[in-house]
Amino acid sequence: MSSSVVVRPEHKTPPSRPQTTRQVSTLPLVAPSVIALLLWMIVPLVMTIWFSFQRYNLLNPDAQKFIGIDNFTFILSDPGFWISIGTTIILVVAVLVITIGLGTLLAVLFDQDFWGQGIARVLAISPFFVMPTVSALIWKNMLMHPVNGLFAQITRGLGLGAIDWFADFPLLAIIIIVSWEWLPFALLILLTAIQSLDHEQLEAARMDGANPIALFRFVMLPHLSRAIAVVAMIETIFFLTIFAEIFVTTGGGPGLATTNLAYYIFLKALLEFDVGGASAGGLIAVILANIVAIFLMRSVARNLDT
Amino acid sequence: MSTVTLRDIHKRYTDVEIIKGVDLEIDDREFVVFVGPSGCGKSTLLRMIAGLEEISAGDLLIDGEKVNDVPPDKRGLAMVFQTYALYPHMTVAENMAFSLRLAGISKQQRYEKARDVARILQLEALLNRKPKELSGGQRQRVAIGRALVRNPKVFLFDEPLSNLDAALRVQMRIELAGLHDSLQSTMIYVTHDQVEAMTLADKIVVLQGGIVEQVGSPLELYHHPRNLFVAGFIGSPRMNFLAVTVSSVNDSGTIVKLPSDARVTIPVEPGSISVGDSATLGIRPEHLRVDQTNATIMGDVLVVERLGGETYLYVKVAGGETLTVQTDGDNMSQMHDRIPIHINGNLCHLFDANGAAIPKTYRHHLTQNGSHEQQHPHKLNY
Repeated sequence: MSSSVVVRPEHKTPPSRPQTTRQVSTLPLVAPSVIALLLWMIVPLVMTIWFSFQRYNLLNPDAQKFIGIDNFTFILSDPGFWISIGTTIILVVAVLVITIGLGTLLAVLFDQDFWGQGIARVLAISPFFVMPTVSALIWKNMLMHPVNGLFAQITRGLGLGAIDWFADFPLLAIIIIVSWEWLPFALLILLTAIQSLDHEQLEAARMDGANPIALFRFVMLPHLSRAIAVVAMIETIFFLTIFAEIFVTTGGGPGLATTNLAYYIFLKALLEFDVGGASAGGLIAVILANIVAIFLMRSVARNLDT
Repeated sequence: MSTVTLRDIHKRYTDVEIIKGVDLEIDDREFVVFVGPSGCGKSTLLRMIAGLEEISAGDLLIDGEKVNDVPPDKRGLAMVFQTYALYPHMTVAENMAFSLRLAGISKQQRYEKARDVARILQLEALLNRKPKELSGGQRQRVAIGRALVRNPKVFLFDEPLSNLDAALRVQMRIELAGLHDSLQSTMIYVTHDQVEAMTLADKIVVLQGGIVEQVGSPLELYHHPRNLFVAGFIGSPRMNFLAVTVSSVNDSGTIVKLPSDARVTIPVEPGSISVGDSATLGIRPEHLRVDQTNATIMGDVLVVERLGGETYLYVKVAGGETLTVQTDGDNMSQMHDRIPIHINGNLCHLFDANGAAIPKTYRHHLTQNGSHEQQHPHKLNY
């Protein structure tokens, strides 16, 4: 998805004379990074496209041959694929809503002066520094575990019994874990955005008769809209490829309950050894991600204009 | 009627006191300017009147009613901020009508009202623009329009012109004076620019270190400053000060001796000083003259600043003091010249050792009627 972002401006350059002369003189300077990007992005992409039109199963690598779009028709007719797309969408949307919603509220809260503000901010941001596998393991074994987990102990202590999160609410459990990991990111961006709000604007609104809710609705939220768009874009790009949390906790299950697109491709490629099918799935994922990226870039670009 | 009364107002943060007891009476339709150096508490005082800062002690009365605990929007005030504080995502019309929107007034009525105000301020063509598409002066006008829409009892201005360039500042100053004349409402204006203070104010409040130094009409402060601080703060270039010794005290005037042994008779009331006391003589640069025949004191020209219409000479005189002399633009003096300066005792001010001015034997003719300082006596803090 980022390849489209990088490549596009180069096509757009209008071929006017002064610019061409400038391009000639700067080409050697940009060449190293362009070549590196080409190797980094285009080569894997081309290989993926190549494999997606091949029958290539690692269990029987000798039987490799060109099979046209069979890989795509097979994947698109696989109900598991559509389930994984649905799961991906639910996961992305739910975590976006939670992180941006809570992030905005927390940003407003952390913008206030209170005792221990500095420490509270560091603590609130710290989950972001924990790597996904580790935080998923902590959530799985120390918090959500039905026997040893903290949540189970609390609910049992209250006489409510324990919830087996990964068996009964697997997708919700994943959503909670990913939200916990990404809330600090949203909070950080939104907090810096809210700190850049001119305090005289808030005071002017207070003089105009705005109560705290109106202040938030009419002054803070419009001010944050750009930052929210940026957070949504960056988070979406990462949420489309959530993997470690699923791999560590549920392994995509029970059944396909927590299999998103990335995990589906992983299942295809590394559990069924079907490189051709996985490549086809990967390409579909790239196309989907690009569609999302285009929409997001547009909305962000529009937001940056105004 | 809209009057504002401050009674022994204090503002304390945890360990510092910013405003140390301010008493002030602001009459209906009066244009009052708070002026003072940075950090003197003038903005804080305005924000306390606005309700944006809590009042630590004392009473604030608007129209005779105590409003210490009334929220800002219920005090019937409108404020124009230094940075304009327009809402960037709203159009000019929406900005001006925002208070009406919060008050739940229908869209139709809101825009009618905004259009009416826009007509007064010549903003009609800009109603659908966003603030960032406006120039500084237009933004300023929108900010004023936003205040006008609310029909406030009192307008508050917090250094509203300080972000504008010099030419626009003069123009907006004239517009503000016209606005005050046509609206006939009470206005409180904070500035550190004494030209704005002198030109706009009916009454100037000079603040320093959270204390009111003097309250009075602009000419009152110019001709009869109460102490060294006000004398030095009002007037540009700054008043010259010379250390002198009192050599005789009479009913008609006091004779003082300059460091150069020259003597000047200053028409001030006798009483608070006696012969032999050290005192400070103050005289404004525009009242000093280069005079070959009638020289009081000689001095060496250090710097000559020619502004075209007038020339400022910085002259070092006996005793090591530097005097600023304002002369006409055709003055021939050069650097390093030795020039004679005439000090007219009638135009001098005399301050005692504590810095308090010694009252003159006469009032300046423009300050005799309607002067404010007699109405509102203030503690002298020196």
